Amino acid sequence: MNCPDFDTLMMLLDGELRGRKLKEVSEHVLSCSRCRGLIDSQRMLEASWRDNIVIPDSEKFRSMEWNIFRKINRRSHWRTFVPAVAAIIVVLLGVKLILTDGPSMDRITDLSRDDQAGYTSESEPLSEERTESLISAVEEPDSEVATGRVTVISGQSISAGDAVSEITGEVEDFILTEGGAALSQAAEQEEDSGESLRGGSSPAPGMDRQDIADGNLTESVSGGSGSIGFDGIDDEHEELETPHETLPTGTVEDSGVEEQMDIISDITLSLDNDTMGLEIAESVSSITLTCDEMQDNRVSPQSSEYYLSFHETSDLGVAYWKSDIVVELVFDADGQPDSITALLLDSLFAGWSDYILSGYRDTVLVIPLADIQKLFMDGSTVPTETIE
Amino acid sequence: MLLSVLLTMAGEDENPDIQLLRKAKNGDRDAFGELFRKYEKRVFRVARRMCGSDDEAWDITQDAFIRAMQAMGRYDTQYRFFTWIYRITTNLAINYAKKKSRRCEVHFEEAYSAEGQQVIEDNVADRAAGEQLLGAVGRAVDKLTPALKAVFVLRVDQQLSYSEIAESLDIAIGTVMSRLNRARMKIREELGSMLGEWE
Repeated sequence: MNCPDFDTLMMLLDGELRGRKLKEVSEHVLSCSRCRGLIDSQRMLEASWRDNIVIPDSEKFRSMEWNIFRKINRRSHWRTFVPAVAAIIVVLLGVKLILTDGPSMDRITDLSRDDQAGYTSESEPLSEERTESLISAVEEPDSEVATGRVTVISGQSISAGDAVSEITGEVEDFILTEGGAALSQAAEQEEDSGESLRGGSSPAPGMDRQDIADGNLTESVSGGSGSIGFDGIDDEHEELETPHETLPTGTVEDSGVEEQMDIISDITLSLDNDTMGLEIAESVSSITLTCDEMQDNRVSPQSSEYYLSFHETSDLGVAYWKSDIVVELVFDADGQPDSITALLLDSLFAGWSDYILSGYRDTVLVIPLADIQKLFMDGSTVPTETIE
Repeated sequence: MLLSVLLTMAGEDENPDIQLLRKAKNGDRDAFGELFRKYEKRVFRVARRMCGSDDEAWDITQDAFIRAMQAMGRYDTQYRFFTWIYRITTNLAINYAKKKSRRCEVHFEEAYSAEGQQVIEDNVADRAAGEQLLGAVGRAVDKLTPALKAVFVLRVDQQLSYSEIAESLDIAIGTVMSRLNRARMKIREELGSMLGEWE
């Protein structure tokens, strides 16, 4: 018998030969030093490579086991609450969250649409100084610090951290509309003062969920109105609130915001446990607002996955990182994002199209929201699931 | 139809992994623990071999199990669980590799395990040359394309049969054989004359 080809010898090595072929090749190898040498060298090469790996100790696996189980259980757990959440949403459509008679802010941030489009996954904790400033303002309503306003613009999602960050120093009031209604303008006294402002709900640079998880922040809501405050001052805070059962409509000077206010709709609100006493809010310690309607490419997607995931994070409390908010990015056969994905990316960071990989063909990436920029711009190893 | 359902049910009953998977999905902590412990190291090894770093291997391992739980509805119970989770793992690893390739990273664990060194000492007279060869093997495997590497890893590291590899990667057995041989040939080409140490 002539020497078998490499493939056949490798099949012998792998134990994949059967019957007569096995007998023939085996007999040949016994009598052929060249073939025997080739098989032996391959066997040694592979054995050394196979054994050359260090497996971490079991303790690390146990930790991972717990994390995975918790995540799986959390997701299942959440889905059972979807109907309950729907009910909450209906109830809360009438809730207005207002911080009134509060202090004026000495800083008003001009949040342009471009700014709102920007997204940063990095944030820094609310400073102690800023926290004290707000507490002081709440406790001393006669101070020169006036109430600010946060305008929630359709298509944006903000967390309590975002809102509080705004209130602490960047905007002048905090008003939420009922679903589909136009947002009111600021209180009359604000107009009298001649102050104009632009509310914004863009992802705030000064706060993230971890801040809240660390106990820096809580929210309180009473009746049809609400407020945002800090640990330990909720009770006092409520006394200062002025519930706005009806909000005057109008325009805001010099802001361009009035056009955007008209498109506000479908705000959903989940509240803290103390306020609502609902099961779903059992561990919620933040307010999460989500505008589901698209407009001018400045919107959160209507993806149910995004929506659920967003609230899922709140459901389990804010001890989870933003990375737990996941979104689906869908790429077509040409490696281009579909329209929803494009809108989402538009709303998160400019210039995303420069970074899209052609390799993502017919792929759905399930990726932490906070890591989208990092994924595309840095090419980092962001945890990503691929559904092919 | 009824027969088909009964056969399916019987098949599921015979597959303890599926039962564990179902229980785990329903919140049974013990069932999940049992299933996880059964496959954790295997999945980690595949992930580690495919991606080349411990950190990525941890991420992939975790993602693979989460994905398996989430996608349980799409799991075809006629296949074995381990081939399914291998498929998820290799897909995740390939996705990682695509992203990593943009950074042109080539990483190989230069710290040899005791077991790997033992193989060298048993078979290569010159220890230094043997270690050099072992490093070269690792680098050669790292250079394989993800498709070739997946087949090589499942065969050599996990010792799967050709049919099991085909099931895991959802490819034909003939494709398994051709990819495996191409992978082996490429590795041998990379090693070149160094192979003489073992021949």
